[in-house]
Amino acid sequence: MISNKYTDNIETQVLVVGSGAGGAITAATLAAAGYSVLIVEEGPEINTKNLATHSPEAMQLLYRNNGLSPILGNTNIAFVEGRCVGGSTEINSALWHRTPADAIARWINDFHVNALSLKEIDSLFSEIEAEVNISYYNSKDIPVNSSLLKIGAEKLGWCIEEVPRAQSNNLQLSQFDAGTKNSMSRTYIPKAIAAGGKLLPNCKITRLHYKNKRINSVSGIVTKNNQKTKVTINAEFIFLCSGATQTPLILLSSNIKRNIGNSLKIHPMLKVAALFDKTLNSHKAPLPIYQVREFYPNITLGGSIFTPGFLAILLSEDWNTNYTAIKNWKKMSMYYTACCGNGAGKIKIFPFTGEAMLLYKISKEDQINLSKGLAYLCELLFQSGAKALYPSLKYPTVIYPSDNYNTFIENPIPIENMSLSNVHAFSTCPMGEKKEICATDSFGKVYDFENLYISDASIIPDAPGVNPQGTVMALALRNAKHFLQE
Amino acid sequence: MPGNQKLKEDLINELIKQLSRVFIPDNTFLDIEYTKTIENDVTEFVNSQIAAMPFFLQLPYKITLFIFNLLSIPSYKKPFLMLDSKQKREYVSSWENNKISKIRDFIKPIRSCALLRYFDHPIVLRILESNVEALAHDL
Repeated sequence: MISNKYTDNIETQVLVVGSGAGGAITAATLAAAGYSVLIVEEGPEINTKNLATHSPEAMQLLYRNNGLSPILGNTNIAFVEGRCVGGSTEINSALWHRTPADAIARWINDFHVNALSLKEIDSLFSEIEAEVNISYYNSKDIPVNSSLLKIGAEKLGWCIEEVPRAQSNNLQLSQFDAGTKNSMSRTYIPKAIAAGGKLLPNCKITRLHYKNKRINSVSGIVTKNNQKTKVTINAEFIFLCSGATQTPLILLSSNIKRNIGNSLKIHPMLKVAALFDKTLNSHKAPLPIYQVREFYPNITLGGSIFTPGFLAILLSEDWNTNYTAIKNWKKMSMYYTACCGNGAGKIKIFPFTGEAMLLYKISKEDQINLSKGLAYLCELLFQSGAKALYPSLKYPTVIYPSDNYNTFIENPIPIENMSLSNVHAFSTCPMGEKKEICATDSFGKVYDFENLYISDASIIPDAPGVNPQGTVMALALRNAKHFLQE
Repeated sequence: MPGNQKLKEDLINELIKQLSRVFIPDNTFLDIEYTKTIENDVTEFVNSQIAAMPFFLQLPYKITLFIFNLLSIPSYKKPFLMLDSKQKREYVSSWENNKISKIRDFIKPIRSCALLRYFDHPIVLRILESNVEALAHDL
């Protein structure tokens, strides 16, 4: 029940909606420049210092819909995103990539993004990387599950690279990195607050109110002690940084529709559990640190989070046959193949409840890339010494070295046979000067509005093919700097 | 909560509890107290996960749970909740292996949540670390 009695009114110069990768850096930059900044975050403020970020407990505290927000389509895709102070940076693996040059070139050519260059992006990255401490695994003892990926790739002569993380130096703790990840709640949010910014958690923004190209006020609901209170926020400038699913939801709910929510892109992912003949203890190792880049930009291979629970979920594709494999859990590890999705996705508002419906149709090209990716991953893991592989497929649920897995290349796996997951969503409000397909200009300013900006994964014009946290932060910093210059 | 509503909620909770238990091992290697703790934790987790689903998915999901309970009647002459554990496994397996992927998808959320909570439960993890053979007996 929402109380009408206690309607709060808040005044601020800049309102930042969302405290994830885009929101935190926007708030810190504008607060440091002397603006009065309020960050509102839909989720709670949780101290993640001692919380394993992929544990069942964390799912209930930090994830939107406790981690049950599937993307619906020709196959349902499991999707997770953060809903807490710090957003998805609190639940991700903190893997860090600079924006690839080919993605930037595509955005300039296809979306007419102005004044964007690799040099400029690299300079923004350097600034951010110093703050979040991008670091490599600095031990001679590479975790076994990671070294297996490397052994296989080297035998095949495939390009493989270590991916750094936004994390404090001690990378040899558990794979969950509890307390060591440099998420937004440990970096840019404290920085924003130190510069005079304010943070309001548990505040869900529901609607923007506007007249003559200006947002006049913003409505929201604050939840405190299970009591919901309406809030109205008056701000001179509004930065929407709620991520690729919630930013379009706020805009569509406010009847702002121009190129909003109709171009969702993702990185669909197919996981595989691999059984080796030696003990790996993958649950104690840091996340696998390598990615195979041989097939970039279409296909990426890498290591996945491992716990007996996640292994059981993967094996449960055919639980009756595969459940005994869990006995060998200490000899197992999990890997993935992901593709740079080019299918068609949308965000829609579900009538009556106002919730975001995520829709995505896996394209023929996605299907081919995921099938090829699985064949490549099988080849690599068998080269590394795997004895059996358990893919997240309805059939086959186990693959042996003697099996002809290369048939996946010529005969793609049926889509309904795949059990897919995804952790990256973007492009729901693409930026660029090509107004017929873009929602914002080249610096995140929403078309037709004077004081409304977007600085999150929504504005990334298409799937970048890499973990997007760095790109989100660089683009948000670029937008904030441009705003200050204006 | 009105009486009818309470009955529906209780039925949903019981269905989720029974369905979760189909997927987790029998725990004969555990003390009865531990078994109860784990089973309660699994049920509580799965229940709260289903309750956290977006409402537009949650409502049809709960309706399908009712239907799921009744659709065992043509084959077993009893609703799912009245089946013995072997029959429950068989019946659930027929849903899990259905040719229609949307029917298979119905089982997935409960199965995945139950397995995640069970195998990542601190007590089970401790046993897995030290004595996987005991668990293997129940698998």
